[in-house]
Amino acid sequence: MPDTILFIDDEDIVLRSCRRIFAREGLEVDTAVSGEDGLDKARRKAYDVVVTDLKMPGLGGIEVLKTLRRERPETVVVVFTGYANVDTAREALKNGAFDYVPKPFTPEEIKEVVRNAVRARKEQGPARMLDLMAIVSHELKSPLATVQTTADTLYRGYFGKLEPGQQKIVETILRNCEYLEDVIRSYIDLSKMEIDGLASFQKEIRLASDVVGEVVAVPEIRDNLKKMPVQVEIADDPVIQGDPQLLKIVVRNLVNNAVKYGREGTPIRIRLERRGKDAVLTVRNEGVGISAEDIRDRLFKRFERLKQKGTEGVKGSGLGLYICRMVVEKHKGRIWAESEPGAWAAFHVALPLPSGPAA
Amino acid sequence: MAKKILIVDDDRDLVETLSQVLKVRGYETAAAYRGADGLRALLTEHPDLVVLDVMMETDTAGFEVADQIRSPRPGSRYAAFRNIPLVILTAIGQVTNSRFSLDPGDNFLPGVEAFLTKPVDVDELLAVIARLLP
Repeated sequence: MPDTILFIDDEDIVLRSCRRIFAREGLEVDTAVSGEDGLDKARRKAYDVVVTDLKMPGLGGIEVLKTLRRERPETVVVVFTGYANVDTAREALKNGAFDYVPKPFTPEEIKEVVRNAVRARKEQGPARMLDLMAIVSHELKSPLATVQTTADTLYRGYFGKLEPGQQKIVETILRNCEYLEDVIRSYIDLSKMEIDGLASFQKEIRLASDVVGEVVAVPEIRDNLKKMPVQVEIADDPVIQGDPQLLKIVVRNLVNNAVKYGREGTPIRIRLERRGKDAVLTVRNEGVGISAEDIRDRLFKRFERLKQKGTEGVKGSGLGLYICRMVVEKHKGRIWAESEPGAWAAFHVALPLPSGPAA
Repeated sequence: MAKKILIVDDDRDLVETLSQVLKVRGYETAAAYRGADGLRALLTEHPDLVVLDVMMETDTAGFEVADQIRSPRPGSRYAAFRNIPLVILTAIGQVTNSRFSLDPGDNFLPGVEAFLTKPVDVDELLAVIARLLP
């Protein structure tokens, strides 16, 4: 389905040139000759982007903008402003306009703004879905936990020893429960992150004891299914400013990945050290590794899963590392990966140490 | 005589599964699906231990049930049960009640013998019960 765009302007020549400029851009273009006409059209059709002039007889652009923000919050609104009219542009931005295009404009200028607006509209989609998913996730959590506990009682032979074939079937149920749990936990993590204000970032925390220590003590990590021992090496235990709950999500995700993509029985190494102005946490495992292309293009993006050989049977939400990146960026830090495909992978998280006199 | 476990949880399927497992292990069981019914079941069933979900969405919240058992008001009908072993079930990361917390430093509910997170690990539940009812 093509992206839909509506241009609102009282000057016919502007509308005609917009139609001409966007004739071959793969957009579905409509035009309206007044604010009233524009709102009427936008109420009947959910446009991805609306570009409106500000100064029009009758209903002005700011009114159109405000109404659209209220009635069609998913529509991205851009405004045309008169030449060098900074104040009206500022007012429009304050009222929720995505961007503005000063008149007169060149085809390239307006194309660029519209391209960005269309992209913004697309990125908004998953964010909205996320809110919904967070709600759904909470609802799914407890029935899923019950399925898991129930299947587990069969698996562990409480109601009689299973035949090998039955055992395999129950394992499939359990494996899929774990996958769903992973997805649900990821969504809940994400929504938590959006709810958490910046206030919680003022806390002084010790990475080793408040974050790493707590995560590696969790039984499902300590006694992981692949029998990979978790070795923690604390070269330094820096105090940083942050949110321990969110940072625990990062460490948990990195260690879970190390288990998921790790070679059975080989150690997972967690190292904490001070490097210049950063506290650096490294999680390293032996296993399938990650290709350079995946590291560059996919690794930390939302819903991306890698195409690395040996990961075909592994199910994941495709959100874990994206969540890690979000948390780390919230802490003004960096996350990156290194790997030798087929041999090992290492994830590094650098978090800034408080500046000023040494803590 | 077989010990009796009262399970209070609004998830009937989970109650059924846990009851079956406990029966296999030689316990008697009783069930209640709402907090208020759980309290009443103390009087009618005389359990030796209570497994209590504190995140029920029905009338009396699980934490209130725990509170009424542990800190009965003067003359309360439940006073006789103030020392009954309590095993609390919670969903992961949901122990956020102001009065009760997993952290012993925060107002830990006196005398709650164990917190288990969902999904319930049946081996762990049985181990906890075996420890509390030797």
